Amino acid sequence: MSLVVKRYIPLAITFIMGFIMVIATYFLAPGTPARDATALLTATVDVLVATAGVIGLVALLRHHTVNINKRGRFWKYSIITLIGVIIYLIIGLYGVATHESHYMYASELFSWVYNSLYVHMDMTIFSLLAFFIASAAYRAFRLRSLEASVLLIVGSLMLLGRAPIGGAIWEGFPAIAEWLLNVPNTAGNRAITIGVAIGAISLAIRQLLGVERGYLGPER
Amino acid sequence: MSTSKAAGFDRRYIYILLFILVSIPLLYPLGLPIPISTHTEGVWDATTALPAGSIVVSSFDFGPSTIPENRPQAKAHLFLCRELGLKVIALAFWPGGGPIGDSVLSEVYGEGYQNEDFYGTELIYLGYVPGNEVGMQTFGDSPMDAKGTDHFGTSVGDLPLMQELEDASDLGLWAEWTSGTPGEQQVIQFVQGRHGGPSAVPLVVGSTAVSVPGMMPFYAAGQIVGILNGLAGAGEFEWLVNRDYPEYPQEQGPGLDAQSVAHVLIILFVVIGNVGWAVSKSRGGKSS
Repeated sequence: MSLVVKRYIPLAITFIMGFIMVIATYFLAPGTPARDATALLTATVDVLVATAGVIGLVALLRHHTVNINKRGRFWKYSIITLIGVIIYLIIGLYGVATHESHYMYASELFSWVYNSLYVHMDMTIFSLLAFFIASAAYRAFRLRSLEASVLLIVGSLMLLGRAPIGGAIWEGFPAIAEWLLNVPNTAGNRAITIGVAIGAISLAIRQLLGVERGYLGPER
Repeated sequence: MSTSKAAGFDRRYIYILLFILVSIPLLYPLGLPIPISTHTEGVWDATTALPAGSIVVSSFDFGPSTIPENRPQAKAHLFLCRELGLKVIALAFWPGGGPIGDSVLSEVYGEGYQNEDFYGTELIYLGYVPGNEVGMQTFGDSPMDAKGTDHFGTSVGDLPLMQELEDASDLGLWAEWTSGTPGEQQVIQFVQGRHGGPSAVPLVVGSTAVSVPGMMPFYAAGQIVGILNGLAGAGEFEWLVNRDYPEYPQEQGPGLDAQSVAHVLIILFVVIGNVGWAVSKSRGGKSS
């Protein structure tokens, strides 16, 4: 594939589209025909996301098929993954094809699989965090340094202040937790947010101008 | 206990202890009092200040993993909206939020709510709106263009409530139930920021507790007027709703009691672990 196709065309698309969106956002008044016209560009994101979904599905099927064929790491789980994906896909497509519903989620069987299986499995996995945190609290949280000590003390105050038992022990705990959240936390997070925003703007400008090309993959 | 012994302590004992102690308050609730935070009061005040007939967006932007925190927040808030006579347009910018929103609405407005007379004039469920931030922006700019049909396949053109909404500035309130991206920051950036700011599109958020610290700068700036902070926030809001509407059940009490026990247990583990570590260190043991 030529350099023009691999590099210059994507760079030109990025520059033109980015430039149009910057102009539309900062220089065109809402409701004007020119601004409305850019909404069409925005809507194309849906098409790109849908395409990315198909690519994701193909990549997932390919990855797990290869893993099973090679008897790779946890290949038995790959079988379960493939079965789950394929069956759920068939159920969804069946619901649409039989016009049981206009929309996949309203299909009774599709909803049942989601609400009765997926929801509970996902919640179970997430809730395991509580056990890991309890174990980590015993094994890893140590007063090794001043910073670690501050973190531990503040964390303990938050734990007490954000649960009803804290207020039951001493009514000052909820107030302390709220102050910690409102003042020191807000100050720190504001600094982080502003820093991230400046970094994002700088990265966006570099990408628009073609200086930052990492998103195009390695240059060869 | 030496550090090596502490480190070698079978973690399964910790798991079993946590499981037993958390189970007890779930089975036999302690009934601990629930203090109300100013963040929760912000959500209450912003909602109850709305005149009847105002339009509220209720956005289910979370997946199944955070149902225990986000779902009761959204449910209590929707109940309050219903009782206050507020019109609700519910939707989800997360695919996983689509079915969850439907089940919450079924609980609050009754099974088959989409077939009731009020559907389309006082309540609409759009379901999943694709496009993440772009979907949010499209909905804010022109709600009719965000999606062709509601969750049940009815054309949005046939739903009168949608006609009342030209853009996001016509909203009375945006209630964002979220545990990630797109979430409250995207609403601020792509909806509120484009349609007159916080005074035109007031935003309240119900979030997982772990995400709340990151949204505090937006709360301090007034871009978010109220926050329901995790399960505790849900319990606090339930308490407020129950105070004015006693028929609304306080379901999060046992969960909050279990959370209290878990928090105290974690602090105890930290203390015991550190005492063991300090003793070991003073006896010349390994410090790691």
